Amino acid sequence: MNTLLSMTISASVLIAAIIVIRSLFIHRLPKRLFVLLWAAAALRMLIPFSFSFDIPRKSTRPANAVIVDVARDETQHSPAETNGGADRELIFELIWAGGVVISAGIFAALHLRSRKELSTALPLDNAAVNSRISEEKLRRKITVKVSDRVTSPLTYGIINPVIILPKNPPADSEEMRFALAHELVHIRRFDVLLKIMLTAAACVHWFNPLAWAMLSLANRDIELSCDEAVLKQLGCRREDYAMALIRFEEKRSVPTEAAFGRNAVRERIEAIMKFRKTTLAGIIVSACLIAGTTTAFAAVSSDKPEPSAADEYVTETNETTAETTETAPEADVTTITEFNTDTEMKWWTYDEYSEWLEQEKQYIANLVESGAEGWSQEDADETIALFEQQLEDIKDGVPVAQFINADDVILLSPSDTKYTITDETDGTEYTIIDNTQPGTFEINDEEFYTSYEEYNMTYEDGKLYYNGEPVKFFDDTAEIQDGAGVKTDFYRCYLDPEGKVVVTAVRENADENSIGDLTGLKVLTEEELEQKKAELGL
Amino acid sequence: MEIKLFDSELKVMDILWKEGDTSAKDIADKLSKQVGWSKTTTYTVIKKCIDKGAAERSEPGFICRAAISRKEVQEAETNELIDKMYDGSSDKLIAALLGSKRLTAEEIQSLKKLVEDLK
Repeated sequence: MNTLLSMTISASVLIAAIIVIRSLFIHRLPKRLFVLLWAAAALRMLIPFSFSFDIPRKSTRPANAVIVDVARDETQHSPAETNGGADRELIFELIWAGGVVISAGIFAALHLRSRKELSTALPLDNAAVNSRISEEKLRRKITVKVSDRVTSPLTYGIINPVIILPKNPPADSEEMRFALAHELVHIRRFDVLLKIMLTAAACVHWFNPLAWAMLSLANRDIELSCDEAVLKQLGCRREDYAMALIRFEEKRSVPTEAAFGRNAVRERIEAIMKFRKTTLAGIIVSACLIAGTTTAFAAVSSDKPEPSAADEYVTETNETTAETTETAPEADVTTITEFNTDTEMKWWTYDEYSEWLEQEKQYIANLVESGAEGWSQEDADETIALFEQQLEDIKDGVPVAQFINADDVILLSPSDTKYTITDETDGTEYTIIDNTQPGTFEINDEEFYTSYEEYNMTYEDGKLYYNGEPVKFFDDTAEIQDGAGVKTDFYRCYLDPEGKVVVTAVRENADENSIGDLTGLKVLTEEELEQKKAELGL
Repeated sequence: MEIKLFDSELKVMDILWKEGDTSAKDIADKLSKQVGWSKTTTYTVIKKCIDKGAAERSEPGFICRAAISRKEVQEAETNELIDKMYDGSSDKLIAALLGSKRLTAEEIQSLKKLVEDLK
């Protein structure tokens, strides 16, 4: 009994903390974080820890003391009265046990009923679905079936997962592709098992309303983090995924869970539309929150901490933190470059992004007007400010991806594509604009390269062409002579390993203050190229 | 009689229409091979069919027979389709079928012949 109470109280503190954090940060942090926190809370509710917790003790001691006194004074009292305290506790325990049985029973009954419905599902043999399933390469065998009794896809089973798809939309439509991806993420993450654990925790703590709050919110967060994973994995447009979700909900003729369900769906759609790359800042904040929340509550809940239990618990969560931070790459430009050659990135151009931003502003205005959850005018302004900042970044030449197509959700925008080198001899600094990625966006590119057009060099779709041939390497540098020696001011370089022609700009009238006037373009031989590269330090 | 049969029930009816009277046990065996249903599942579906009046049960041996013909179900479903999706006009359905090129040349021929015969 005591352990139960202590578990419930400490779990309640944790749950309350999570709820507060969630309401503040739900759309700004990776949803997986919340799933981990909920799992921690559920574990706390299921696994008793043996640390001392004073409150229950205090309540039982006085009761015993009273009974002892009574027994001493009135020895004629029947043994039943002297055991009054113990009886009371027994009654509570029985009530508790009854509650657990009833709640567990209700869940079990509901589960069995839906299993019965689903048992009549028919096997599905669809090429697209089959190939997608075989792509998964899981140890467990996944079965896909179709049923005319469900309106949206679902999964059950832990060891032999089964996905049930509705008859509409057809199995090879785009919406089904999303749905299938969504279910497969659930399977891979053993979400069914996690949900069982959460439900068990709520049943054991049925008398604690926070336990049910946890169950409800945790289920929502599991869905949200699943959506997140799908968006990351498929690299589709958020709107398409959100629309597919809405369509599945529309087909639901009988509103299940009434208001409960509607809020959850709305939350999902907003989360999807607000989805953006997780930043390193987000990971750090997440890590701090996990560590902070669990250590803070561990300190609160144990007066005489048993080092092993409390520390073990904190280390456990630190390991989970480590898991999430593992995926953050080094924050330097070279990594991003390597990254880019592997994945097919499509970068935003300034114009495309402004256009998109205009539409997005409209959409957000609608959300605020319709009173959508989590979209106050403040939220809207903040979000728009973020987007405008990104527009500015794009203007400054920072590559920003259009689709979320990388294996790693964490893409760091390099802070600058400019860097400085210092001349050792006299400490002068030179600023270099690194333009070595083909098609790197810089708003001034097109404008800049027009100056070479009269010499037959054109810039199209992010690539340079000389006399119609793709350029492999181009540079426009000037050697500015200064009394003390030759210094080079890098003006512009371009490199495309797949190009053919090597061109350099020829200028005249260079002096201290200017790089001179453009007088022509020259094609370089291999030798000259090597020499030039050495000069430029490439 | 408004009969709305689910896919699962149609599967059972299929067997009855194709093979005539069959024992529930045999139906369960066949379906277990065809679609992987457990015995309990099949028996539940059979019971549903009986409750809906689509099938009948006779003893001894729990023999099932179809109480409604495939044609009747087809008609009912088609009428529902026409009412729901084609404003109750079968012309529109025919036009849609012809227009969507779902009919082979032979099918069109036989349709034409049918029209001729009906005249």
